Amino acid sequence: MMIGDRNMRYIVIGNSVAGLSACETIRNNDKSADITVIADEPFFAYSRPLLSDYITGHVKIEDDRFHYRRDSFYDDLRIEKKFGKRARQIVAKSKKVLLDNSEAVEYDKCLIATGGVPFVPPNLKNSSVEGVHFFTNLTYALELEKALKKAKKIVVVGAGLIGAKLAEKLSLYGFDVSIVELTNKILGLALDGPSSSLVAAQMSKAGVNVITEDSVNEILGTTKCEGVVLASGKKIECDLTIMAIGVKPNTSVAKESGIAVNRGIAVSETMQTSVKDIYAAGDVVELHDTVFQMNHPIPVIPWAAVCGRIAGENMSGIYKSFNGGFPVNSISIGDISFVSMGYVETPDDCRQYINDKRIDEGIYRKVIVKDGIIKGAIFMGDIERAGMISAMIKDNTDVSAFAERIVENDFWWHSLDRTLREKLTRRA
Amino acid sequence: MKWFKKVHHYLPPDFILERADDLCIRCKACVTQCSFDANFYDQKRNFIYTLQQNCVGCNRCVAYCPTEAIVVKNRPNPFREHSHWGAYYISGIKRRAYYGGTPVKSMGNDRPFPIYWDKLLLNASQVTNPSIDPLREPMELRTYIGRRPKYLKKGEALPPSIMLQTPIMIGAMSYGALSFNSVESIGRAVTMAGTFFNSGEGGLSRDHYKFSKHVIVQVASGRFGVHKEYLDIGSAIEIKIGQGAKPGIGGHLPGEKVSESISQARMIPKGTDALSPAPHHDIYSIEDLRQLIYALKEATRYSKPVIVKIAAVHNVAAIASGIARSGADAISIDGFKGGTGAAPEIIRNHVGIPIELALAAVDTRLRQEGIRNEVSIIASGGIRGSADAIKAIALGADAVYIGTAALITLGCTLCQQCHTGRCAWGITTQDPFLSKRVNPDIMSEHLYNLFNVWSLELKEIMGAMGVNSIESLRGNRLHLRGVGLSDRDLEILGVLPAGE
Amino acid sequence: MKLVYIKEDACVECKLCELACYVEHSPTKDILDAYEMEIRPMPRCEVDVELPYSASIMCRHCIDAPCLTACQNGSIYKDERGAVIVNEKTCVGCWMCIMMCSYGVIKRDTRHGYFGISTKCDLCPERETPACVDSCPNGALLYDDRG
Repeated sequence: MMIGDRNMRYIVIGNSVAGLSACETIRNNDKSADITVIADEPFFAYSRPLLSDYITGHVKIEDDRFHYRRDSFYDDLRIEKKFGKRARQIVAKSKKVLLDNSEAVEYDKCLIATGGVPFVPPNLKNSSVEGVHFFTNLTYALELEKALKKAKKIVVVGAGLIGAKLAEKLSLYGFDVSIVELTNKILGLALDGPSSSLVAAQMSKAGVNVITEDSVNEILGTTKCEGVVLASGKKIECDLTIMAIGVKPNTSVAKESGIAVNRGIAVSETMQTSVKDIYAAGDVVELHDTVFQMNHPIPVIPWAAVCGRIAGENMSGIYKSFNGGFPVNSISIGDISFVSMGYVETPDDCRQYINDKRIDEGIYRKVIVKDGIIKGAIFMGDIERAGMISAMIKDNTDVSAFAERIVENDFWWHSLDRTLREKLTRRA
Repeated sequence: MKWFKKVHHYLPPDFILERADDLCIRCKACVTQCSFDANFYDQKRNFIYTLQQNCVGCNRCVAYCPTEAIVVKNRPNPFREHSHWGAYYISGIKRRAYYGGTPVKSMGNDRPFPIYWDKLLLNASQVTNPSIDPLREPMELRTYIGRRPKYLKKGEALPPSIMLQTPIMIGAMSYGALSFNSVESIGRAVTMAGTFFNSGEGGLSRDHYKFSKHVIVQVASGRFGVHKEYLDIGSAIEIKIGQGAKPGIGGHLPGEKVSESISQARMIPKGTDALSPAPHHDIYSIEDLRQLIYALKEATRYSKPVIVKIAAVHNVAAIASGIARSGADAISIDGFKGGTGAAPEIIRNHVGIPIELALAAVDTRLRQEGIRNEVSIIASGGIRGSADAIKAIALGADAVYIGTAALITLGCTLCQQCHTGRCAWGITTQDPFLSKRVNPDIMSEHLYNLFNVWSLELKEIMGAMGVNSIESLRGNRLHLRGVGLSDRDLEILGVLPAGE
Repeated sequence: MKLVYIKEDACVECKLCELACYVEHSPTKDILDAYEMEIRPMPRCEVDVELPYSASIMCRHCIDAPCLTACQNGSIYKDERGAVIVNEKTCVGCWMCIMMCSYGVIKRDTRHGYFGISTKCDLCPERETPACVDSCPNGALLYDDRG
């Protein structure tokens, strides 16, 4: 597309899933556009879930599999890279993005895909000493990698997806790891009671000291972390504390630029922010959640990619709308893989179907149904067919005819009725 | 191996299934394909075993084994050799003694009675009359089944008849004996080939009404599935008096095969045995038969020919003469080698006469009486190829019915288990899973090929004989010569010995 | 593009498609070699059985493939035929694709070391017709244009 005699200028702030998905879509729709990606980290886009494998040495920075796209990606898509530069503010009036080195870049359409930043509990005392780490990006991971060389005992704060996986990996790697979780179960947002205890057992098997219903109140040490004090008064000695309580949307640019921000950047169904020509996608936005029926950030890769694409389409002039998402998680701890989506604990107005016959083997299934529509599911062990459930949630499929069959271990196409199966063979 | 050998009911297996262990890759195709539970996989030993007792020799596993690891062999006589007391008799006695019932078998007579087709040879033109090249000259196979009036009066309509593009039809095999997909395949094939299939005594599934232009509907002693709509759907109606495989007794459809949809087509309760009475209880004479023929004609406004089917029995010629005079438009004669979906073995193996002789006798008799033109003759019962068909036509038939040959096209290996309803090839079963094994898309194509190839072969043979129309071959026994036949046989067949 | 169409009415549960699939994805493509391999390739199609229903199910190669979108490191791509392919060299077994696959046709292969591999139908890039289709004895799989 051309504006007068020049190409359309797209600026994407953020060099990860949502941003690059948008770039791909834009390039697909507009062969001549000038696309610029601005990112504060000076790295090739990488896969964040692999950071814990990076720490344990199973992937290296130069590995193909560590990268979010293949090496020739930026060249193939003719993307101008402005890495190592932080976007400070977007001036909508003059259509410029101001960088922290006071450079200004002009745009026609701009996408904010700045992702998330680690969340630090405000009441944590003495959190600025050396040895307190975060683990949400490669910069943090590199710092942690350096620090781990001198460390032995580690406390991970928060047993969410990042914390739990990292704790398990570090423990297997030979560190003495404790994990502290505020709620009564680890991976509380992604698992229910029985499945959470299965994972906890796997963590303990890996040697992790799992502490639940407790939190870190204070970090000990004057210059260097020497231990933590828990709310229960218990003290744990450690060389490193890794904060993995969660992420919150990195909304600083948006706020600076006068863009409406609630829990994340507020966007329309086309991913446009409150300001014209400025879009947002990925972990930084709040999405409509069709299961929980509210808007909140859903910081997972699949939705980031979907929203990135939708933003890309709309930015390049093709109307596409986002119909809402819901939390989805896929993670492996120890020998157990699990997938969960939507609700994990059954609300009062829903029916649940559980299959825990083979829970001893690490196989567990639960489906939560409301008025015939699936609202949540946990697949543990045998996760192969879990995607069918996410599709059913997405499509609002009425499952009342076979709801109890979903939790059977061999659930697959045969569990559906013929018309649904025929739909499956024809669709795609 | 979790099974018990019941020695007091012991019969040595008929077959030996050998599986080469160096070729067996434990894919378990033989296990899933065996519908008689002969093959099973032992997970603990990672080995596939065979219960030889259960093997019926259908060769389904052999066909499906991807590495050709399986061979099914006939077991040599498991009893002490005896020239009088063959294994067939010893096993037969034991089986009757063990189970207290007469064994039911399927398919045709498997005893080594003479096959007259194999003692008849065809003629060819040399020098004095030219042969015809069917690739260059038109050859006429079109055949009409129906009454031909002695005289044609101007303005008067011809009696109803059906037109066949080739003188081969598919004989009566009911929906019930056959699976839905088999009937579907047959229906599609005859539609493509421009000929007919016979619904058999089992009514017709409504899903098969689409074959209306290519189906002959049967009315038999049980009257299963007969109603006004059914008669209207048919292009012709056949009254079944007897069947070659079991002359003198009625049809058998074991209750195992009466599924929901069969019960609807037959208008009987699900799971009940459908046993037709031996005679039609309203037919005790030719006059009674005439009443039924005219009742059916009346019901269908004289719009379609009525065929009467009888088994080839001793005084078949006289019976046929009576039928011809009773108003039937065609007679179908079924020889003792004809197949069945279920018949007492003793009847199947010992009752009836060969179609070759019966056909010749009927044709001769009707000619002698000057009424051959009043009826068409359809021969059936063990037609194995186009040569058998053309010999039948030369002996006097207008057309032939094939049954077993059609089933072989669908996959049948003549394992004679139709009556069990467990057909491993999905042909004669009502099990919804087994019946999937006949894929009408493939099988109708195969069956159509058979019609096509046989028709080409008929043309080829006719060309060699110097005959360009099937009409001029019908009853033309000069085109036949007999070998190894007695004078009396030759006389009945109306055929000269080879060399004369 | 062409797609393998599944006809459940003709599937006879012989599972020769699974066999053909693992043989095709073995190094020598020899049936006995493939059987004797220590780590046999995983069949990418699987026969789903609940008699009388049975059908061989494999990837539908969605036009807008959710697995491809969900992949955390770009290991899933579309090849020039339009087939959705997993790059087994870079796959890290995070199972995000499994989580998003509407058909449940991606399998986990965890027998190859630290990283698991998502295994799915690749429409046999070296063949004109996929091996499963060629091997189906009853026409239950048809390789036909998408439509």
